[in-house]
Amino acid sequence: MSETRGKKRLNRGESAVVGSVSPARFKPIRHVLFLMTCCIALGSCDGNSANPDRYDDVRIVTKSSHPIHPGASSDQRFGSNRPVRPADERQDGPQLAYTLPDGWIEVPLTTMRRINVLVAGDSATECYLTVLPGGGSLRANLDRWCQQMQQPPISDEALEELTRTTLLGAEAVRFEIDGTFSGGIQGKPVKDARMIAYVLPVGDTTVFLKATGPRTVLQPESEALDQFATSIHLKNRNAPPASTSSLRWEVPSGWQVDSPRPMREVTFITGPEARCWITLLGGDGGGPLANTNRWLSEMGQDPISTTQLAELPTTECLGGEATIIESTGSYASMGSTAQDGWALIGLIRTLPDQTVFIKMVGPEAEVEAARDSLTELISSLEVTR
Amino acid sequence: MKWSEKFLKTLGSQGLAALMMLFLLILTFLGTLEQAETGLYQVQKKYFESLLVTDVFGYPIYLPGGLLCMVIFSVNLLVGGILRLRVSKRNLGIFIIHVGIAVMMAAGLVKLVASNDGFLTLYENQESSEYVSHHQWEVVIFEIGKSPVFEYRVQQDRWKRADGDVLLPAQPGSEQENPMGLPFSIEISGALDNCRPLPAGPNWFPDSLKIEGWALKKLALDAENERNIPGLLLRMKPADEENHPAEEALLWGAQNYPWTFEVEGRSFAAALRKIRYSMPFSIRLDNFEKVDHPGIATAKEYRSDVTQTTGNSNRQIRIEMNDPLRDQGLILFQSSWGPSNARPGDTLYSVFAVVRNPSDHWPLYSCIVIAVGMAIAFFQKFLKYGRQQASRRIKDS
Amino acid sequence: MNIQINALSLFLGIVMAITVPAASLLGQDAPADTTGSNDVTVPAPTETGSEVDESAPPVQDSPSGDSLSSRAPWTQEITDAVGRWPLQHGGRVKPFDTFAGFTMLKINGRRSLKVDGEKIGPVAWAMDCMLYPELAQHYECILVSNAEILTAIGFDTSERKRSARWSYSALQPVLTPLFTSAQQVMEDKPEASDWTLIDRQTVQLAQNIRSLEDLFHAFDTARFPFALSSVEELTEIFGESPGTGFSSILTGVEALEELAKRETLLALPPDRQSVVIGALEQLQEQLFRQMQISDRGIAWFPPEQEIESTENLPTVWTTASAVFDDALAGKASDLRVSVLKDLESLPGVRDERELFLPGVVAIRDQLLAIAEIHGQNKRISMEVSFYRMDYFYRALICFMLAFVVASISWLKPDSKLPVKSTWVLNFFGLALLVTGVVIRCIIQGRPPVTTLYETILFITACCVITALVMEWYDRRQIALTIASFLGALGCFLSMRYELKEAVTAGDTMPSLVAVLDTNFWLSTHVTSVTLGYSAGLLAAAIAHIWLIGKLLGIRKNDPDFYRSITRMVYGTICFGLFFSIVGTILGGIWANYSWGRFWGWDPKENGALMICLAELMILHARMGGFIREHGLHILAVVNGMIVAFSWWGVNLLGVGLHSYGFTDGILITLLLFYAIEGGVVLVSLIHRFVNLKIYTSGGSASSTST
Repeated sequence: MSETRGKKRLNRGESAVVGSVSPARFKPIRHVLFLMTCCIALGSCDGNSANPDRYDDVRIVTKSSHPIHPGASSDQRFGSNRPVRPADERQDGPQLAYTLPDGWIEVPLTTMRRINVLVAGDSATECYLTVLPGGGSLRANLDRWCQQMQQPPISDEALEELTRTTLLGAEAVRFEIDGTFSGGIQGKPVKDARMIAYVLPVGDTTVFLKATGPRTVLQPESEALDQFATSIHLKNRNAPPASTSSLRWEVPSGWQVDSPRPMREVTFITGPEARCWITLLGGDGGGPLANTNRWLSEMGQDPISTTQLAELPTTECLGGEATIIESTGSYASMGSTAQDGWALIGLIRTLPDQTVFIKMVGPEAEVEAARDSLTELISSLEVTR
Repeated sequence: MKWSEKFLKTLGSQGLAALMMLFLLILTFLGTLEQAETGLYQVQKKYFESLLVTDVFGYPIYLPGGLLCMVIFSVNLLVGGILRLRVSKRNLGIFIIHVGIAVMMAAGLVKLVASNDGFLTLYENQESSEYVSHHQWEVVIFEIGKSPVFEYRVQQDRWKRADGDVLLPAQPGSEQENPMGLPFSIEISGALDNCRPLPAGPNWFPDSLKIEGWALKKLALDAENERNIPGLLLRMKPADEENHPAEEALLWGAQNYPWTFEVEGRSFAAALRKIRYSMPFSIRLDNFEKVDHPGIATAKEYRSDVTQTTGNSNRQIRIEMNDPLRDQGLILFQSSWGPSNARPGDTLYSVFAVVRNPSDHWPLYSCIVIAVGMAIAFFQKFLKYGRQQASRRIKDS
Repeated sequence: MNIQINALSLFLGIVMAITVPAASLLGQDAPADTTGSNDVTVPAPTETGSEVDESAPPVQDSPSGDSLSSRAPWTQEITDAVGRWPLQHGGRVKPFDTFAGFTMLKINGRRSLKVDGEKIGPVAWAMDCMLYPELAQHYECILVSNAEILTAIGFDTSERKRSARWSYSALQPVLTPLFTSAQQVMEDKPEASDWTLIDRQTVQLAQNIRSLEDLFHAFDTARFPFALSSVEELTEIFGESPGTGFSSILTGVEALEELAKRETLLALPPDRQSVVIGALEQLQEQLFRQMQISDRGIAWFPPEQEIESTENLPTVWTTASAVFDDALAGKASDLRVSVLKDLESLPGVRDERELFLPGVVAIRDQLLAIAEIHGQNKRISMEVSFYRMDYFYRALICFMLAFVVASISWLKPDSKLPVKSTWVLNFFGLALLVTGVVIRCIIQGRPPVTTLYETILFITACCVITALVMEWYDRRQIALTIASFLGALGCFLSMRYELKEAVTAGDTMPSLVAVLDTNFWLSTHVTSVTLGYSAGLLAAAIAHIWLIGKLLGIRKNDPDFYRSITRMVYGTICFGLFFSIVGTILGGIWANYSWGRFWGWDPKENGALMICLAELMILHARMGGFIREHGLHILAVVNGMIVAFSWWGVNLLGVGLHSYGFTDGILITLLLFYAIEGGVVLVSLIHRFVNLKIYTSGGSASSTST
């Protein structure tokens, strides 16, 4: 059969290249075996080899990336009150730091709540800090809370006698009330509840720290709550706006403050072309070595090693030693044309949780002339907390 | 003997090859046309990764699926193009071509079985050691407040197969992987490929299960697969069923918080999320740079300077277009950046595509082999043609 | 923009620093106020340029008044010199000639215009727009391809044809509604794929008019007389007739800064203080305004210093305002300031051609000298001569002649002369085509194919070369005729499509997006795939001769003729398959090395795969004996249709990574192509059923051992 067909093809002159099979060399069993292997191989690729009784795998991670809200209801899990995503956090104002009392649990932040914890880790409680523009008078707030606790408004005398506690480093009014709490997000009134609230007007905004929950839970935690309130303070961000900067300085004579720039605490005009600026970065800001070498590369110089870095001169700055980087050459930072005969003086001062960078660039003569003013600036630097 | 001979002959025939190519051609054409309507991901599932296509643009037309065609095509190639081909000087080129194509198909097979991919989004100074699948989802269960966290995972294809229900018994604790185990069994059911959780109310009476007044509303599949968010019902049965009744909750791919529950005094959380893959190193984005062409808003290039940390050793690497980072079987590509509506001066994030693919370089090898084979085969023919024509012209004149 | 404001604030900051305290009689420094001058919002020029800028200044008439109704013609020397002015536009450095050519092509639909019996080219037209805006606004150079755009916004167009050229002045009454409706379209439908034809044309027209306005305003600042003699303190510095433009200020900038100093101002007599401060403020306001206008102008000025950077950053050219700004900040700007002065003197001498010519020549030489610092001057004159030569138009003529002569050779088969002249003409055409493509490569520093427009040129050249090689072996004038036909067709299509790219991209050598910015893959993958396209199309073209020949019964008794066609088609398909497969896999490898995925079922990828599959199928079906000669030719034609789908069709689908942009109008051409090809296939198949004998006779004798 195959022979005749082969011949036919040859007659038509078609199978000159491919397809003619020699029956003598044809070993079907081998081929069938091979084929079966192929089929198995192909079949197994899609087949599920997993044990039906087992999970696919167990992955071990150091920290879960999910925001956890113990006992979250379906409303909380599917509703529109979404937790703050890391991306949003970046654009927000200053972040808050605090010491969490033992046993308390942090729950994810929402758009309004800047601190959100469960008192004693009990999911029947709530404790959160909000910052509201305006915020209403103390009286109005107290009246609203009394109403929430189904209690009559307090008298003016009682209002005067309210205790004061420290919140965010300032004196805040502390207000405590027992009753039936009906203002929670759960919607269900909590009987025999207690509310402890702290009110602190700051400028044209008001900071509220409010804890609610069963009285039996809140009562023993009352002192812990006060300590918690005291512990709350502003944390420095990577690039805080100038107004919230934790650095202070005095403008050296002859220098002018330039318009604010992103990433910079301040920019000074130190000469027709020379500029000097201070940058404050969280952590080590990428490390002294990386920054030094970046500066050097801007000046067209070769990078240095860690040992060379250690040998660089230092100067007194902010109660410690700051590394001084000096270089001359052709200055070209990202996107600008190279400037020949420029000089750079840079200082890196590593603080416990952040790093201060001071950088002056400009034509050599201008930089040299501004050197003394720079020293003046460095000595005037201080950290405010 | 006879039947197997005939069978093999058919299996390795050029006719079958041509037929499979025709089918693949039609599938590719239809798949290309339908992409504009139903989106790439769905089309890929329907035409190219299927065994059978049952409708085309909504009409009941039956076609063999892409996967089926490719399997038959591969077998045909092996049998007809390699095994049964008697190699001679004349068809050496053809043989080499077929070997090259087999290498390419093998690369595809290995990729299908052993590869995974995902993405990793980083802002400057952010660090991560895991990447997220583009399309695949998983249910993950872990104990709260423990470190390290043991994540018990079930992947989407488990509940997509077998009528959708998955039953997993309690996991006894063992030495390393799961020292504590899970003291409950879980059951996954009612999975939907695209849904939104909505509170049941006067305007919407779901026939599906309501939990705390919420139910999952099924939605039509979106052409953009990124917009399809699955949901399912998770039922947790404690091992100690006498004292602790079973609990149920809805899981949704974009829920605010995982579902939490307590069993035997331990707190657990269950989440539905895109599959996370751990990397054997962590990547920290030090600097991201986007350079535009002068005067217009077309990016000329963009690149990321990252620090790769493996154990205690660090190294600084630049990842840019057409120049990925390859290490320990993983490849990180500069894929895109965002947010896309960023104005000049806004902080940008960098997106990396992360791929684990053992057959990464195989297509290149196959391409070289195929090119060599074709060069040999067609050059032979061309020389022959040239000789023929020359002799013809001599005859003519 | 940023740099500019900084340096500007340096000068203005001084003014502000004094004006504020002087007004409030506070003696203290108020550094915070220096930022006040930055609060002026500068409208950023948008990509589309179609934002409605209420404050856009009207076209300024020259001091000589409206009386001007004509101007002396530009001499050849002047247009030549201006054509070679380098500038940066659309992300690359190009000669003014190219810029003007594409701007005119975009707005006017062709590269020439008849004005008062004088035929003017792009450079003369652009110069009229810039230097004689009061004349140019009456030029009928705005092509409105669809009168519905205008009727839709309530403009009576009944006196004109549906597609007509309008003048700027005639359209002036509808400009505001036109811009509003264009903006509306863009706001309502952010995805351009949702736009209707009218939407698209409206936006296009609005953008074209914006481009024209930018030309009208290009020399506004140069014509602008700053208030430099309003008070005697200023007159002392700048004289009685300070001239116009930024350069008029630069003549006395140091003295001006001195005057603006706090001490100087405080030292003035009290009654002069407020007057001088008022004059300075007025000047400052004018400066801001003019710098904003100038920002939208043409980027004539290369940076003056060499940029040394390891980061491979682009060299950014700037407009006049940046030069002024640098000069103010004391940065090195002598070379550019000198050019700026010459440029700003042009409007003053526009009617004096003998003064004008040395001016433009000097500007050209100076700009090229600055560009030389960055090595960006080399290709300017090459590009000018490239467009002057019009290679592809000349190639079109050669191929058309070749086709005509080839047709004669079919009528007179014995004559040797037509065959020889066809060869010669084809060679000429090919030489022009290849030269054009090569020059484009050199100008761009890229492999031959980077845009859809260039695929046409490259594919045409490849088809012609392949066909000529085949003809060399075959000598039956079949491939020769095909070569001239395809050559002519390709050149014609390329010219049609150039207009499309001019409208959408403003250039046929645009800047590439990041992922395409690699010469290695462009030269391997793209070139291979396009070669595959050309072979597929060539095979289809030759197959037509076989099919139509059989259909019409030509050379019935010459089986060798048909057999030789079959051999050619088969060989071409093999050739095409080689490049299609290699190119397609290379594309996958590129994607794998760029994104980590070898295959993603993207439409363009699918298109390439379809070509590979179709050609593989043809070869296997042929070798397996399932198709014979007729089947081969039919499938070759079908393969040609698949190539057309892959080349153009997938771009119309509007999805995927490889879509290049607007492609309306192409659809009609493509559908026409499909109708013809489908017709050929169908008629041939029917004919076969009716006259089976024609197709089988000689079939058994036909040799296919190609």
